[in-house]
Amino acid sequence: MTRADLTVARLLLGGADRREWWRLALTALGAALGTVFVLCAITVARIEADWNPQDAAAPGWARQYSSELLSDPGSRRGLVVAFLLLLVPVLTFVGQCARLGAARREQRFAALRLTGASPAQVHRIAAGETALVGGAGATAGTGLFLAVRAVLDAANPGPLRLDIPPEAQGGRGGTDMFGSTHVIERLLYPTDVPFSWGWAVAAVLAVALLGGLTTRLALRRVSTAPLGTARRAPRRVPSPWILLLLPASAVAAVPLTALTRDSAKPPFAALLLCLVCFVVGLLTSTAVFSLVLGRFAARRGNSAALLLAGRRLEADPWAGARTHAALVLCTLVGAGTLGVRESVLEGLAAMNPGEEPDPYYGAAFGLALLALAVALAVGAGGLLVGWVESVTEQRRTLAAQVAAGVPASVLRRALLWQTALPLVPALVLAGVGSYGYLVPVSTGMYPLPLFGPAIAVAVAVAACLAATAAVFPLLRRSVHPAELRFE
Amino acid sequence: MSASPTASAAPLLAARGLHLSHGATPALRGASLTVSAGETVAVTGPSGSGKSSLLHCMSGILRPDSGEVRLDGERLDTLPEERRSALRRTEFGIVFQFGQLVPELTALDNTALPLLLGGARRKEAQETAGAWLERFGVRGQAGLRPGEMSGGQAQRVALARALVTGPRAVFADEPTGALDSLAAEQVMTALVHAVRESGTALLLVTHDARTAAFAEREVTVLDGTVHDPSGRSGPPAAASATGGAAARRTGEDA
Ligand SMILES: Nc1ncnc2c1ncn2[C@@H]1O[C@H](COP(=O)(O)OP(=O)(O)O)[C@@H](O)[C@H]1O
Ligand SMILES: [Mg+2]
Repeated sequence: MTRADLTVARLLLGGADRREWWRLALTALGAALGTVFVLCAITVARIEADWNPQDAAAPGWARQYSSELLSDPGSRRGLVVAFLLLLVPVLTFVGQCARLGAARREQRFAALRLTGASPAQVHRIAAGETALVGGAGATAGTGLFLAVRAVLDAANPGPLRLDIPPEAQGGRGGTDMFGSTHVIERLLYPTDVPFSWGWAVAAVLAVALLGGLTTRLALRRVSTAPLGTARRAPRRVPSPWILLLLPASAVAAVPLTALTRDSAKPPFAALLLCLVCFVVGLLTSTAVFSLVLGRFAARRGNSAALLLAGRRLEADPWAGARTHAALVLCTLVGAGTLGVRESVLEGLAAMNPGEEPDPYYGAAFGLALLALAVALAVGAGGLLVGWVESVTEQRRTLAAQVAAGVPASVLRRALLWQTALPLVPALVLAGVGSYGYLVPVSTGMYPLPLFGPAIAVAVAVAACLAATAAVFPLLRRSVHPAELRFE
Repeated sequence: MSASPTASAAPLLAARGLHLSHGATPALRGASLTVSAGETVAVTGPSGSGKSSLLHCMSGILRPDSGEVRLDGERLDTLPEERRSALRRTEFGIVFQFGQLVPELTALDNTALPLLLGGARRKEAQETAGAWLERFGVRGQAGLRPGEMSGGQAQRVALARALVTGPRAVFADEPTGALDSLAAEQVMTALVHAVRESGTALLLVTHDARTAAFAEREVTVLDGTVHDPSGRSGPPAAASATGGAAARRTGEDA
């Protein structure tokens, strides 16, 4: 990216109109959210361990926090990874926003090409635009982070004198030099970690850069011609054979799992390979389902809604692939988390009947589920953005259908089918696939979960359908006869 | 709806005193037009005079601000959108300049769509649709999507789709507006032939005199009122008040 590219990007931003503004605002929102996650990850990573030398038995513990999630170095690492993983749906969302307003953007691309920009330069300019907007959003996100931090700081309890008998402190306490009590400042949130401007600047730059790269990737198939509209490079049709990866990797994993339990040197690498194959198969599956189920529905379906949805899916099976991948991944991890939670809590209840399970588990699972809920919401937001774009682009055709007497309810149902046909089977497979890692965890002391994965799949399906239904008001406005004018 | 005693004697379609504004822009100012069963009527007039607005009101796509539209003597404009939508689907066929075909559907599916909406089985719908494509000479294009056809072929598929339910009236708004003269001629010949054969009425909006010549009767829309030389649609409601419109018309014809 050169200075000239950025200058043109800035000029284009200056001339952005209302429809563009909508796209830019969503891009900035995604960047802001991503920055908050990165800053949270940095904060948790910078937590300093307790200095107490008596804690040598538990290195890395930070006992200034009331939650073991923050105290335990292992779970802190998990938190950092979780916050960084949240960037995946956020970046998917930003990439989706880059595709918004495609028609307008194509006009601009064509204009840039006519004035002598090379195709690569046009893409760089678009990426630069996202980077600039992303940088602005990331800066706002830093402000948001600081504001929330100030609120949480005020909510943190002050220094607390805990008169805890040493034996009740789980071996980690001790007597101080004054006698039998221990003074511990227990904090709810890690607001004792000083805010670092250096890290904040790094986070803003990283998010802006990632946003630019995502845009570059999202647009890589949009080629531009100086005259006329941009044309999407043809894409290979997804091969249904890729679905075979799913049963193949599952079957291969079974003996490997057994080996893990018995042998001294468990074949972790082979297991990981199986998992990667499964995830690749799963992420590609929505495109395959779009093609295969779309074709089937269009050929066999007896309803107009199925015909419309099926043919649209068949015409561009990769249309929602990126957003679908984020949703499927989120469901896979969510199903696993809910499954492990169910197993562990039930296992503990069975082992210690009548006892409340350690609140640590509740807090850890609660936090993980919260993160997954955020990821799902961002993923569903990406789906909605895609629908807004698609409905806006097709509004003349849609208005003409309604004028010719196609009931608006048929168009609404077609949209729901178009979401459900590729996504529901993939999400169900994600739920089933989560047993792949639930089974090894569950064997032994924990029972196999029944409801957790099913609940995760149901919530994900509901979120996808709700995101689709959220575009209905726009659909109603888009089918107005004013769209039928030709001047 | 209660059947009116004069229903059988009533014209197929009758619009009376239609007024319609798009925001502050008046599009129709007391337009009246009568179309009998099986009749082909061309609606001409300069761009922006209100032709499309008239077609939209008479086909129940838009509801006029005032005035009335009757189908077989029964009020159409007062029906709820759901009922009007069903009427457009079953009693009317609608053709626009372009854009009425779903881009992702093949010609056969596009044509079968209205039948499927009416609850027909897939197989029968496709058979009927295929026969109509045959009639319009585009059977060979049955498996193609609109983007893969020429403009003339796409319009002939649109005609097949408009006629496939056996409607009583076809509304066509500049159906040849995007075609070259040869393709336009072929499409108009096919359309007029088909409606004559099936006894379907045709309301054809066009600004092109050669296209209008395909119809049995021609009316002109000027400043939102209809001027019907045959006098069958009644006097233009605002004619006395807007002598200017008539004067301008004379000027244009000269
Ligand atoms: N949706 C709309 N919004 C604003 N003005 C409109 C709209 N539709 C039509 N008009 C205006 O109403 C008048 C009649 O339009 P129209 O019926 O489309 O005329 P025609 O089809 O004869 O060209 C024109 O002045 C046009 O600009
Ligand atoms: Mg018009």
